[in-house]
Amino acid sequence: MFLSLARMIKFAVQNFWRNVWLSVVTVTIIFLTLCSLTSLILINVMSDQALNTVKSTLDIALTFKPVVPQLRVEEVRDTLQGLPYLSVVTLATPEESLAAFRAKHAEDATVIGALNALTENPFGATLTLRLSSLDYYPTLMKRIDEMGLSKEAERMDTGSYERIVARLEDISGKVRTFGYAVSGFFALIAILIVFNAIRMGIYNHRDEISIMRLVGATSWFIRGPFLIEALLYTIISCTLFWALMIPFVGSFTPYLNAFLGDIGFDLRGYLMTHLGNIMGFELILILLLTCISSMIAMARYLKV
Amino acid sequence: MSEENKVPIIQFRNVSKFYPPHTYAVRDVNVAINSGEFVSIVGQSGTGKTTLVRLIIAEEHPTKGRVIVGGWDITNIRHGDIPLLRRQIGVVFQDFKLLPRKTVRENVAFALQVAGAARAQVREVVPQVLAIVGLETKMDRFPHQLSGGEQQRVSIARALVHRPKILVADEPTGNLDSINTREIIDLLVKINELGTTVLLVTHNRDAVNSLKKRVITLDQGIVSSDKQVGRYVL
Repeated sequence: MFLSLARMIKFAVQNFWRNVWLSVVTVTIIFLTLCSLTSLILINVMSDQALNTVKSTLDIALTFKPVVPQLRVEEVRDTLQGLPYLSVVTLATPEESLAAFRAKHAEDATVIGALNALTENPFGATLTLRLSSLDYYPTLMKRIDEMGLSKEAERMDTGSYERIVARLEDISGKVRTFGYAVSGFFALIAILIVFNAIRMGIYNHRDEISIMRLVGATSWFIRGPFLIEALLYTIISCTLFWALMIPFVGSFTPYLNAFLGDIGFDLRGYLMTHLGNIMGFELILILLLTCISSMIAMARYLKV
Repeated sequence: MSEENKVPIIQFRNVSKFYPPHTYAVRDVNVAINSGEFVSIVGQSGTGKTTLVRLIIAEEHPTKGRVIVGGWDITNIRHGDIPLLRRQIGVVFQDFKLLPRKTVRENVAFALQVAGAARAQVREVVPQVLAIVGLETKMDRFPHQLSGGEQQRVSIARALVHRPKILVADEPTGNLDSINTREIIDLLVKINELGTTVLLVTHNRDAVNSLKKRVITLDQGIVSSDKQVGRYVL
């Protein structure tokens, strides 16, 4: 059995070298498929990370009317602090809000002048709320409504954050769709190229195949080398891809970190942690693609 | 002929092969070939000689009737059993079917290798069969360095590596001159004398007449004569 396997491998390697340019094209296309597939995986992870970062820093500022008493504000704060889906609840008194405003516009004489012209503090107390997840936003709004805060609150700043998150999710979804389309395109091309490579192999080996049949070689012995050839394409492409990908990601990560800033995604760290899973997934996927296309080519062109 | 030799090794029982829409390659063939016989199947082109060969090696299945080889009914042989059948039948064709980039030794060894033979067996059997066909001194030559007759002898050596009980030669002299034809026919007779049943499919009149052995004549797919010591008569 091992002897037959060794002979099948020998025939497969022979076929690989006899059509070396076709083999190079096949390996290149599978390599490109792996590029798009890995990019898709990493872009997905990065966009999820970016979204989570934005979501985790989403603050809702609830500003009370100046007439609302401090005690009432504190009562509201205490109630909100008891809600499990709020990770942060901080109170800024009217004085603190005024001081913060002055500090922010210290360079703007017009604003400061207008502020000095007022006899009373125009700011009410402000509660800053941070959700543990943006999914709880409707729940919080309902709770605020139930507490009758809409009459006491002067304004609530959330809209711009919501739009940013929605926009990010939209972009992320589009990038993902584009990634799927590119990967699908390369996968389709890979299937066609492997199919053609196997077809050429069958054509080039037609004399050997005819003699094999004549002298009593089994179907598996005749088909085996073509399946092994598909396996060779997969192994060579994957080895080549990862041999280049790992150092590339290593040298690219510092630039990416500088670009992403606060998002703080460690691409190399993520890749090294999940290397086994990603490689295994891609190896199985590419193996399936190449085996299926070679089996179709054999069913079509190799009559044994 | 001994008692052992009277056992039928190939039997066609009422065999017909029909190709739609309206062509019978062979029709109602009833033939039994005994073990150790040398039988020539003759007839003009298109009379069904090659169809009989294809039925014996299960390249085709009969539309009607039964084909039995070595006591094995191969009429509806399972696909997976065909290699086992073909290892029991050596087949030689007019066009030699040699691999040009392999030497004589490699061409013969190829038949054993693809059937899963061990290296030791390949090393032992290949020189033996090449000695039988008289090519032991040309083992490392390539097919293009040999004459037509020598190439056909390589083909015969390859057919013999599995030590088959039956050797089927389909027009083995079709591409050869008269001298090489004589050599190949003599080689087939020698193989027959060593105990192998030989089925010679040919339209070479001189070769058949010189043999003075059994001749089955096909005419438009029907066995028109079957004589124990026959001649090529058409």
